[in-house]
Amino acid sequence: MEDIFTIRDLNLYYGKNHALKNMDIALKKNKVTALIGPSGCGKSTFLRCLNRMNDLIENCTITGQIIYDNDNINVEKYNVIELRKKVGMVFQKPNPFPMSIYENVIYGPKCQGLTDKAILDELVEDSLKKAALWDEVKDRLNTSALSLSGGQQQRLCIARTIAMDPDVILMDEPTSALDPISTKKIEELMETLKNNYTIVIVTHSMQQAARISDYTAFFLMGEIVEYDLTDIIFSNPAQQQTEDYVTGRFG
Amino acid sequence: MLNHKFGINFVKYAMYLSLILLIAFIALIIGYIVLEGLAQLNLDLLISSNPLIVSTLMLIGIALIVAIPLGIFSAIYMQMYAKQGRIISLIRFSIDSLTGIPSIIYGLFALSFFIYYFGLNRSIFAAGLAMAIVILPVLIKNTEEAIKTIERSQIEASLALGATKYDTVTKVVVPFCLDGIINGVILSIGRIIGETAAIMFVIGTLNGFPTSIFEPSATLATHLYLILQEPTYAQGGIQEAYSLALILLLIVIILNVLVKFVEKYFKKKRGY
Repeated sequence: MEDIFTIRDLNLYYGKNHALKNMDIALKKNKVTALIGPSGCGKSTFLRCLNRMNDLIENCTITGQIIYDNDNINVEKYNVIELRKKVGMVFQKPNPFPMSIYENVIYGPKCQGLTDKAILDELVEDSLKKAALWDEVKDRLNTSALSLSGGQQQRLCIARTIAMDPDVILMDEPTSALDPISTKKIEELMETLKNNYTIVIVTHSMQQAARISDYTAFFLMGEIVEYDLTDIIFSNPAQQQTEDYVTGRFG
Repeated sequence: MLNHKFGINFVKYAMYLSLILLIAFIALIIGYIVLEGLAQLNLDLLISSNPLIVSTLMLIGIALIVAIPLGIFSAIYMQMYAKQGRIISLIRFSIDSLTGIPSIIYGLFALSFFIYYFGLNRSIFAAGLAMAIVILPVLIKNTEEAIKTIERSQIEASLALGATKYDTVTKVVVPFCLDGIINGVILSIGRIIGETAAIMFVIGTLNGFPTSIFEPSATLATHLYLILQEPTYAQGGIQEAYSLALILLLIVIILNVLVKFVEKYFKKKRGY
């Protein structure tokens, strides 16, 4: 099976704090990979390496190779705009822009210079359908995105990411701010999305990881303790620490 | 329990009382100016103060045109682009200090810098530049505070969608801090309209209807100041002063309403 991301000897420092240590991992294409582990173990930091979001943080140094599409993206000269067009991100708290629903979806493509109204209309409909939101909002595309419920806002953020036609969607605890019903909808959505996209999701909920992911990586204190098929991680992990965590003995 | 309840009630009534006092003071000031001003206001006076109104508006226009872009760009640069460190802290400290400087110091600076050093005429233009300097810290501060309130995740969301930093600033940051910018503009208008010390020495003296911004002139406030200084003020000058004060008040209200409309228009245009 094809790997979409190959990470070799990745180390990350916030100032002197060694946050990610010697990570080697290959993420599979068109699969859902869940990153689990206790708070502060580096899973979000790792996720943000994949679209170079850590660039925004001062005093953050990253060494090692992050190979995406045969190119090492962890070099200064790599075009980070192109990378982020292909590797989208959905955040922990729904963060639609305070614009209309329509404007939210076309934000990315518009920044790339797409202005043809007909194409944009089609893109909005298509993206919202893929994000399972179209039926709920098709009559009020021009109302403020902030008038939507939290769960709808999060699906709008997914639609906004899909509108860029990415290869990969990174999700940083996308349901942690949502109620159980909205969470279920997002999880069902991920199920359909994985046919077309590679999904890497950070989650605090082990049940969620077990339900939705194909592969799971267990992070602890800045290291990847174990990475395998989700079924194996949850039923027969190789490491004692993994077993302790997934059975709820700590964390 | 009783004490606790008494405490809550005490705070409640104290708040009511301060609110009532505040409203009473505002009503008193406005009412007094309106009554005294209206008593004297007539067509002749309105026509004779026309040049003052026009030059006041010109002054506001020049100061805002110069200061708004400078203020917004500086604020955006300091919040979004500059590496946060000693230099930026020092600049920020200076800006904070500038807001506290008495305006006569600005007047002195404007006189020696624009008039003596650069040889500008005493004019509305020179006064506009002086006022631009006075309001610049206000605009920078308000814009910066507004940028700070933007959630980091909004900026990250924009960048994560492949937007450039420029796109993020123009499409996300600036529209969101519109409130702060507008606030700064309203405060600035108030400051310009009321200012005397900073412009008295650079605007010159009234010379009929201002036909150009490069002519000497006077604003409502500086003229008011002069009237009150003249020995004749006891014989009717004070009444003229009240009418001018009324006109000033009306201009402030009208301009603030206008600015609010502009804000509404932009917000509607962006669909939120």
